[in-house]
Amino acid sequence: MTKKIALIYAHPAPNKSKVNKYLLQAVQYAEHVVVRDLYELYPNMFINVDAEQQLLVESDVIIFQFPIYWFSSPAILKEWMDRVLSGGFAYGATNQLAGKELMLCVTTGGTEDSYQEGGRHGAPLDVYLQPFKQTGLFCKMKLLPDFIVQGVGDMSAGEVAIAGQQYQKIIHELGKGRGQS
Amino acid sequence: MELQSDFLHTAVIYLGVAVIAVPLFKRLGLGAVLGYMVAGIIIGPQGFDIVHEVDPTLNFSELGVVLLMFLIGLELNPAKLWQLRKPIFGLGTAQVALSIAVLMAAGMMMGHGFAVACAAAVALALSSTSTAMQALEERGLSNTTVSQSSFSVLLFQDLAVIPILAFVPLLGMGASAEPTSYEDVLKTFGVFVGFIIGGRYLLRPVFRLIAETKIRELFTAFSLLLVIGSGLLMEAVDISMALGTFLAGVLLAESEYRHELELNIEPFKGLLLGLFFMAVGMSVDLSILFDRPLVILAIVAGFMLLKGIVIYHLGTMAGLTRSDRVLFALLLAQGGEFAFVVVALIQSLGIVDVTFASELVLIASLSMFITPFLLLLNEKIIMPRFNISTVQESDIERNEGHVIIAGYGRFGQIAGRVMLSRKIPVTVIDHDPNHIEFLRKYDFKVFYGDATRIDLLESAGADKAKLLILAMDDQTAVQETAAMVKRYFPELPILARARNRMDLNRLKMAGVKASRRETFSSALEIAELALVELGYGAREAHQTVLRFRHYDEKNIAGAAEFMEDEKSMINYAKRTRAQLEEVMSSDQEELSNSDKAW
Repeated sequence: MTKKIALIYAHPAPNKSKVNKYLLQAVQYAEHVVVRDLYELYPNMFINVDAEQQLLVESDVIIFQFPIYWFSSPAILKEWMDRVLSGGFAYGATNQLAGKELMLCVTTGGTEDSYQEGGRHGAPLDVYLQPFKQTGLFCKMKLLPDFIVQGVGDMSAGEVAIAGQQYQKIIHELGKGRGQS
Repeated sequence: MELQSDFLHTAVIYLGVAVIAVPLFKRLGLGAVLGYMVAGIIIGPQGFDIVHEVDPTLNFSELGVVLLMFLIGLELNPAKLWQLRKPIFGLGTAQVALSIAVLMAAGMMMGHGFAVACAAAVALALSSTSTAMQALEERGLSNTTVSQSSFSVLLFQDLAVIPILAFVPLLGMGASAEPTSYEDVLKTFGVFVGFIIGGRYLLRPVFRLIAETKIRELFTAFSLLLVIGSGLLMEAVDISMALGTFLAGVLLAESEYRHELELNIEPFKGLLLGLFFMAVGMSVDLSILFDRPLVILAIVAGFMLLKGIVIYHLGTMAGLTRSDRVLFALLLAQGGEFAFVVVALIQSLGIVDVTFASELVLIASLSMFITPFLLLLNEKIIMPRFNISTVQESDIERNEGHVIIAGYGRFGQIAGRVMLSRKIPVTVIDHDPNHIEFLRKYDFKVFYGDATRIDLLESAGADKAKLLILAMDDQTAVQETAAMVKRYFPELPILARARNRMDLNRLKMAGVKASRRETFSSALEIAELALVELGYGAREAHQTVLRFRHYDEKNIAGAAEFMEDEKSMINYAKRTRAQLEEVMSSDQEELSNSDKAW
C-alpha cells in the first residue's frame, strides 16, 4: 500500500527561493504527496487547525520543509506547530500521530563548514534542528533521516538539479514504504 | 379670550415657580419633589395666594400618577420581576404589613377610630420612591445591597398601591358595596382578554405604521392615547385607571418600542407629577404646623421612628450589615407621594375630615422634607462610627457591562454578531422600523429610537455600559453623538464608524477612542486579492496591504493640523502620496534583501 505524505512547506518568499522552490517542484506532483504551502494558505497566519489535523490523520509520513531563518524555521511553521499539534490530538491519551514518521527537509544559506563549533554559525545544524525532532519524539513519531542542503548561495544550477533528483528519489521510496532507513 | 389668558397666566406662574424652585432644591441636595412642593406652598393660598383654586389642579395632575403607574409597568418585564421576586414579595409584604400594623396601633392608641387609624396607617406606610431612589443615585449607591433592598420594597409599594386604591374605599362603605353581577364580571374579563390580545398582536403593527411615518409627535400622541385610553377603558369596567395603565405598561414591557414610549411619556409624567406635587404643596396647611408645632413635630418624629424601626429590623432579614440597616431605615422611613394620593382618596370618601387629611399630608411632607437632612447626618456622624465609607463596592452582582451598538445596519450588524458570538450582552438602538421588525424575527434585542438623543442612550444603560459603538450611516449624527456622549458619559469608551479620511480626525477630536472607515478594510482586502491575481505571493500581497494600511493611517494622523486649510491639505496629500510610494518600494527592497537565497 502506498504511504501518504504530508509535506508542510514554510517559505516566506517562495519566488526568491534558490533551492527550496526546486526541491518542492521535484516532488509536489507525486500522487502520494499533499503539499501545504503555509505562507500561501495562511498569509495572515490564521491556520485552519481542523483541515491540518485531518491531513495529518490521513498521512503516514509528515515532512517539514523549510529554509533556516535565524537558526530555526520561519515563523509560520512554529505557529502551525503551536496550533495544530494540540493536546489530545498530537500527544496525551488520544495521540493520533503515534507511529507516524517525521522527516525534516532543511536548507541553509551558510555552508556546512560554517555550521560547526567555532564557525560563523556556532554549532552543527543538527543542534538547531533538535526542537523539531524532539517535537516528533514527544508525539511518539518515528524520525526519518534528514534531507539537508547547505551552502545554497554558491550552488550551481546543476547542483540544484541534482539535489532535486535526490529528494525526488527519497520521496518516491518513502511512498513505497521502503524508506532508506 | 379672557379664559384663555387666564389659563396662560396660571401656566406661566406654575412653570415659572417650578423652574426657579426645582433647580435650587436639587442644588441644595433636597431633591426635586421638595422643590415642587415648596413652589406650591409659595404660590398657594398659604403663601402669596397667587393661585386660589387648588382642587382642579390636583384633579388634573393626578394624571401624572396614572402615567407614573404606566412607566412602572413598563419597567416590569416578567424576567426582572422574577429575579427580584423574593425581596419584592418577602421584604415588600413585610414592610407594608408591619408598618401598617404598627402605625395603626399607634393611631388607635392616640384615640382614633379603626377606620381612620387604618386609612392613615396605609397612607403613611408607603415610602417616597422619588426621594429614596434619588438619594441613592446621588450618592453612587445604585448597585449596592441596600439599593436592591430599597428598590424591592419600593417596587412592592408601587404594586401595593393598586390594591390599596381599590380596597381603601371599602373602609368607608362598610356593607353598602353593591353585589357584583355576572354580567359585570364577564365584562371585566372580556376587557382584560381584549387588552392582552390587542397588546400582543395589534400594538406592534400599529407602532410600526406610526414609526414609519417618521413624524415624532405622532408617536408621542399615540403613546398618550394608549396610556389614557387604556386607563379609561379600565375605569369603564370599574377598575382604577392606575391599574389599567399599569397593566398596559406591563404588556408593553417586552416590546422593542419600550424605550421610545418611556421617553415620550416621561416628560408628561414628570411635568404632571411636578404639578401634582405643587398642588400638594398648595394644599399643605402650614397653619396647623404654626398652631401646634411641637405636637406635629413629635408626631412626625414618632411616625418616622416607628416605621424606621420596622424597616431596620427587616434589614436583618435581607442580610444587611448594621450600617446598611441604618441607611435602609433612613431611606424608607418617610411618607411618600402616594400618601397624598391615598389621603386625597380617603378624604373624598369621607373617611377622614379635612383637618385630619391636612395633618396627614403635612406629616408626610415634613417626613420627606427631613429625609435628605437625616441622610446627610447619617453620612457625617453615624457612618464614621461604623468606619465605613458610604461609597463602597458591594458583593452583589453588578449590572453586567454590555455593549451598546447604535445603528444596526450592515455595518453595526457585523460588529454585533461578533459580540454575540462571544456571548457579550449587546443592546442595539436603531431608528428604522423595518430593521427592527426584521431583527426581531431573529430574536435580537433591538430598541427603536434615535441614538442621537442622550436620554435614549441613558435608558439603554450608557452609564453602566462597557462600550459604545456608533455604527450609524449618518456621519454627522455619529460625530454629534460622539461629542455629546463624551460630555455626559466621559468614562464610556466609544468606537465609531467613519466615512472618509477626514472623519477619522474629526472623530478623534470628538473623543472617540478609535474609528474605522466603513469601506476601507474590505477595499484593502480586494486590493490584496488583486495583487494575488497579478501573481504576487499570498504573503507578499498580505504584507503589502498591511504596510499600506500602516502608512495611510499614519498620514491621516499627520493631516490633522491641516484640517481647516484646503490648500495645504492638498499639498500635504500630494507630498504623502509620493512618500508612500517611496516608502513602500524601499520596504519592498528590504524585504527582498532579507528573503534572499535559500
